Amino acid sequence: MLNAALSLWSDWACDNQTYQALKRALKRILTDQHALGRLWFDSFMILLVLSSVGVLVLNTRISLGAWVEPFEWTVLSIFIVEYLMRFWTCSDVHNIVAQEREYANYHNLPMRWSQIWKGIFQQKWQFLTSPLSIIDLLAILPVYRPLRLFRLLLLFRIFKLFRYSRVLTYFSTIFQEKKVELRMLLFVFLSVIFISATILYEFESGHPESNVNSFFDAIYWSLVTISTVGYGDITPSSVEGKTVTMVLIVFGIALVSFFTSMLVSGFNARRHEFTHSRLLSEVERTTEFVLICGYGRIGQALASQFTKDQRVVVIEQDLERVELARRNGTIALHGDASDEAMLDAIGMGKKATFVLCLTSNDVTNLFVTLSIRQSNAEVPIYCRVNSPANAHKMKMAGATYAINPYAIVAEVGREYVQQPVAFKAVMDILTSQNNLGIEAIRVSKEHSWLGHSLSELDFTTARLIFLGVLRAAPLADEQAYAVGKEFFYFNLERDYVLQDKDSIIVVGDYQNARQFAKRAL
Amino acid sequence: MSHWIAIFGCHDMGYELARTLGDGQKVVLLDHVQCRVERARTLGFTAFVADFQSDEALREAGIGGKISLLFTLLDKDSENVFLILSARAIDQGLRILTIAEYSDSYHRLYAAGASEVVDPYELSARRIFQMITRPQVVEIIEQAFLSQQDIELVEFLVPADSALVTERLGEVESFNAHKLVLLGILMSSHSHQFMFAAGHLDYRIQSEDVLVLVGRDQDFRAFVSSVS
Repeated sequence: MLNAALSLWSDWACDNQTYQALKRALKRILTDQHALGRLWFDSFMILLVLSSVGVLVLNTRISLGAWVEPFEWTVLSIFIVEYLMRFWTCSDVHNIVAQEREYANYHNLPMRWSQIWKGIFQQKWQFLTSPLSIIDLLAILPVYRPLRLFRLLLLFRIFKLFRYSRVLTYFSTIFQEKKVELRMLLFVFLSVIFISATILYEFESGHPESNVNSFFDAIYWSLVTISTVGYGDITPSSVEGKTVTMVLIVFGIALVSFFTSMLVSGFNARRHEFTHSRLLSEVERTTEFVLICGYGRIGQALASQFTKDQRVVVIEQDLERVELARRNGTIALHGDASDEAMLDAIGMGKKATFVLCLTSNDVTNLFVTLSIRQSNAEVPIYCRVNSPANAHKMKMAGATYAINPYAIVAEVGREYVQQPVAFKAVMDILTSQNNLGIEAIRVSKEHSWLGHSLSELDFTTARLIFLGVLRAAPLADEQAYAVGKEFFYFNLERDYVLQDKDSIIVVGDYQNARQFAKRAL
Repeated sequence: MSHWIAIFGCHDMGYELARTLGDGQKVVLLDHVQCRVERARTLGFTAFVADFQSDEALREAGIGGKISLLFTLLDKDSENVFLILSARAIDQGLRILTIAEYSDSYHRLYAAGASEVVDPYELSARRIFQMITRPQVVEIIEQAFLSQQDIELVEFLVPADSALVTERLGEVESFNAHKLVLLGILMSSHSHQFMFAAGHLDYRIQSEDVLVLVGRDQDFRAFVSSVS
């Protein structure tokens, strides 16, 4: 009967996409630190924990009013719902049944219901006995108010903060990782306390000047001494007792040092992960950023141009480059840009104003481009492509612009072969040497140039070279060059009358061009 | 003697350059790694093995002989420095263009004897940044300066008997008349220094100066015949 009900429920759950999607979404927000909205959830829960504990502390001496009771019940209900949700999402019961059914069908065997129930029980038990789940349970136990001890268990809610604070999560992870060493240390610690207390009790209990009156006193003295606190309220009087104290002090120093070094090494081992997590939180808080995948030479040069006015997020595999990027003031995450989890963690570039895929690997660049384009149709993606044959694939994957560094070398190389002097001009313009370059000055309604001919513009005094005009609409009887959606007219006749939204294209110093445009306002 | 262009470095960048230089040039690819040379050959390039650490091998490859221009595209700056120094020692007149792996290697590459140093990564970064901030400008640069299409960047060596000699740069009518834009000038009297025209309009043109102009091919040809 129970088996039949479980089977029916499993079928329903396996077929119901809404149920699965809801469970997945809940699980993500409860367990994935980088899930969208997790920051809000964590902040809300931290607020609940702190406010409920605060109310408990204040309410012991001051009467806060009638609202305390409903408030406490609301908080408690939320904690209970959260606990149940965690219990529900910790394992997929329907999957266990489905897998077993598949196995039975494949091997032509009857369903092994005992295995199924065992599997379900094991997974749920694992959840119930995990330290954080026990803390959760202790935090909701004070529901039985009459017991004063249970009321004090409310303080366990403070430990719930381990769930919601990333820093505390890492702290608890280190304890979990070092649990073998910690157990060993605890064993040594307890053994030393017990042995030293026994020896002390043995020698001191009969001594006339001794203030060790019971075995509890000996244990208390042992703990105070080994921890290097040494209150001095209980001191040995016999030579044997003093000898044990000296040995215990040495042991105490050794144990404290061992414990400290163990924690420090644990922190050190996870330092990168800790930094990574902190930076991810920073990315979550950033509303807009430029995403650079690959911090090679191109990435470095580009990032340096952005940092002045825009946040830059870098994803890089090489640890040395990651460190360099961090030193250069960018948020640098260590990882593979083609790793979907990494892209998920930064929200698939949804907050990115630009995405730059600049790794030296075309496969990675293509994958990142495609992944980001699928989740964000608008963001401009600029891609590095190493093999010219892959340029069209990048475009197919959704790249706005694909650049081949080798092709640039080839272009300037050809210029160098054919026209070595013009090459210098090209290089000056391409590298913006001495602030030189091509500038597009947009004519707007505020400009005094509007409605005036080009001949009225004094390019000579401004030390600018007129190259042409970019227009939104084509001109009759003039040869146009398509530039995006606009039309470029090279060296247009000087009697041409400037119109709104035209762009005057000049070569010269950027600052001269800006001042030239400003003077016309 | 026919002039050859040597590209040291049989890899994607070398292939791309060899392809772009086109049919009009005699290009040979060189590399010290046998398998890379073989791959270049299978792709249809003229390629030979040459150890860049051996002067003998470089001479055999044509440096100091029929090679008049050398591109050094080896993977490391240190390798390029070694190659440039060796090639310069063999042929003082050789034109050498090299790539820089790191920007702090520029002065070493120039000191070794490179005529020009190009940083492909810096150029790519600038191109992308311009594409983001001023996409039309990039398209115009590609259209006017790099595409080799209708509008071209051209050089004109001013002959001694040209009508342009002693004219002030800002007063030359024939540029406008032929729809050409004067971009800059290489001044023969100023140790062949290249200057952008905008700041030197009072300069009087001299023979052996080189004018850099932007314009259409037919306009340029008409200009040449009118001023020569």
